[in-house]
Amino acid sequence: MLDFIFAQFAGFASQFLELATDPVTYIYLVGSVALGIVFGALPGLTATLAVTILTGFFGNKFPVEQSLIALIGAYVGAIYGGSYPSILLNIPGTAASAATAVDGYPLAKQGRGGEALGMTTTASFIGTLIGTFCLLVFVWVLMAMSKQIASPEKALLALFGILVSGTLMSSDLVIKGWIAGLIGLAMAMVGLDPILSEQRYTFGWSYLLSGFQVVPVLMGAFAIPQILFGLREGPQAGSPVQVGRIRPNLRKVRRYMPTIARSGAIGVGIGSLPGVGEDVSGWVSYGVGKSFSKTPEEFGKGSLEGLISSETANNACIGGALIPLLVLGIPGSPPAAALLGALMINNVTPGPTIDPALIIRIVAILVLASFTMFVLGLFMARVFISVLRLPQTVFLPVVLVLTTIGSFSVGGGTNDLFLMIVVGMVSYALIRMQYPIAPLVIGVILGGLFDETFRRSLLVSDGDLTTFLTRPGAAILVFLNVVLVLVQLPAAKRLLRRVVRSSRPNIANARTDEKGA
Amino acid sequence: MNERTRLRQQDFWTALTLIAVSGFFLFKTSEIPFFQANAAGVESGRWYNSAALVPYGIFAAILLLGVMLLVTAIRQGGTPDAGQFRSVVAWMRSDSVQRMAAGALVMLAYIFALVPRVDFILSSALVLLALIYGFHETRLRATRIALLVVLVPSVYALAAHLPRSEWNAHHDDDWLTLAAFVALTLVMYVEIRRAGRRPDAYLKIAPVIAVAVPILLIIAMAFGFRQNVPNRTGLVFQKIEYHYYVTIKPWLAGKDGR
Repeated sequence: MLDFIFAQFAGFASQFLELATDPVTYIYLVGSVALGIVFGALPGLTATLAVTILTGFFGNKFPVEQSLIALIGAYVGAIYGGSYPSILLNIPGTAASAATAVDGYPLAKQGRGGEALGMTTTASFIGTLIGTFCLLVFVWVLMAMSKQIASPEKALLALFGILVSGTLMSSDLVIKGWIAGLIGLAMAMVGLDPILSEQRYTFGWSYLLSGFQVVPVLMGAFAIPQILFGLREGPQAGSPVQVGRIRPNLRKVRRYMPTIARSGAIGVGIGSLPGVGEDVSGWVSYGVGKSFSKTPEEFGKGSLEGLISSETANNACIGGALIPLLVLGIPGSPPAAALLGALMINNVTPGPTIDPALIIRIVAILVLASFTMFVLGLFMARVFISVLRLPQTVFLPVVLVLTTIGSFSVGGGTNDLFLMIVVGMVSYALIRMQYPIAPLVIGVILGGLFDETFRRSLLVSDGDLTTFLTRPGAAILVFLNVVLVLVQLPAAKRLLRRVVRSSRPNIANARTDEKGA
Repeated sequence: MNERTRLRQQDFWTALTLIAVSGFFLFKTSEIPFFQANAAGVESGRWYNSAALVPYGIFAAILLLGVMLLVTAIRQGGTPDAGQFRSVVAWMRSDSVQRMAAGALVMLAYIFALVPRVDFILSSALVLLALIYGFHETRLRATRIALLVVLVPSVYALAAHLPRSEWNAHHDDDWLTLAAFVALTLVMYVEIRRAGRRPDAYLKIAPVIAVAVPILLIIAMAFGFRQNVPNRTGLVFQKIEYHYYVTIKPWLAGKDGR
């Protein structure tokens, strides 16, 4: 086992050295991390959008290894950059940094904005490294397990990914998340079917024969609603408060190391759940941090511990989100879904068949990206803070032009633009009615996999549905899928409540008996 | 009306739409062979081989969830009433909805009318300027002017060059878009001053941003990233491309001694 781990670290060291000694790496990294920080810092732009726009730029004309440097750099930068407006303006730059605002802004109002930014930079850096380390170590365990995964498990995993993301990302009714996921799945059915090449829902339009392309769907679902919301609200920018000196206090960092380690673990764990993402990890870690804290009363009033809790977790989530993406082909977060789209247009299929060298390379890129983020965060924070003065009515139109040319270039046609705008308008309407949009995108991405593997399983078993129950892995996944759906149904909830209520007197009696004994 | 009731009223109509759409697609799915699956010209007759299997499941699930959503919406007070119509009218008349609708119309005109037919730099410059002026200025009048100036060349491009075969054939819509851009620049400055305001720094440099951004983007994409760009025969891009290959590249090659 130890030999195996040493071998992985040796592989990582060689990839890391290869990347670190290539000057081109730094050009991509500095550019993409800076762009990511700007996207994260500007309220209205998100990490998903940063990754999506760069996907449009790099397309499939660049080697995937180079595209990955830019995409991962932007991802890491944007998740970190969201903390700037959270701390300085009390406006979360991204959903991931919403929990950061709770303690970040009070700190800034106390004149400790610089200290907060310094601690955030350090916490984000260490968080990314924790996530990266977990990715390096655990991805191999899961890879070994995933070798046992055949068509039935793949189909059920794809379904599980869509259901879980729909369940966890719904802010209103859970069925809205499922509906969004099913709409995505339905969109994936358009075109030629993967087994018989039968035409489905093309309505005679030849463009639809190859199905919905991933990039226009990504651009439409993530960028267009953002632009419409921003334009509707009008110019919104603020003057950041005085920042002061930005430097991490090493003594305080050492004091909060247990918090950083715990939040890192939470971030990785939540990130590895399909479709959940950085925002959930930030809030969960914040809540756990408060319950573990010796001074919970300071949370919400400017607690460095609270700030560290959320910021470490949302960056650690990046490594976690890449675990299911690389091992199973199921994205762990919306930006990871965009990253999956980028990999797919480069003919890289994440999952058990992925090239192990690519995973080690991604880990090396993540480490380098986190170092770049740390250096840029500490030394160029004031430059990024000045970006916050830009009103969104100026940069959102630019984003529209960026997405247009990106979507056109990857697909190479105006049909992709038509698709992008239609998906964008529908997504806008859905978001307004509180439907989560990430399950829709995940549905589009995983729909083809689900269709193909589900039918292949039935083909192999000659139509015997028990194939989904006789294999241990598949049976577990069927159980998880069924439980996931059942626990959300009102009738099942009522039954569960009744069971709990009826078991209470028994527990109480048992306790009385124990005491008596 | 509280936010939750409004949401449930929207859910009521969405549920009906979902039920109708899933019904339609279930009907369309019935056109895909199910019990007579055809593999490479051979009638196999296996239901589990059919391309309709998964779509049946998906649309049936959407239908079911649509019904569940409808029931939830009705139970939680989402049934339509006379007040709903009034509140929808009031909502549609609100400034923010009009701004959103104008933004959506500009985007639709840009993607469906301008980008396929008009030079990308010109169309993007016009749309960028229109969006910055029309939405950075909080007055609805500015938004309406911006929308109108985008719609004029868009409608012309659609009317004059609707078929795909004509998308790259003419330049008259390019000239009209250029004229619209110049007109909007002038109107913007005059209108802001007539409204008794002074353009802020962003509005002052808006025409420069509007021209510089698409030029830089298209040069980076076409010559730096070597990606495909829209409308290569457009008025401005055609000249940039010509001089890149005829003037700049040979000059650079000569400088390198190649």
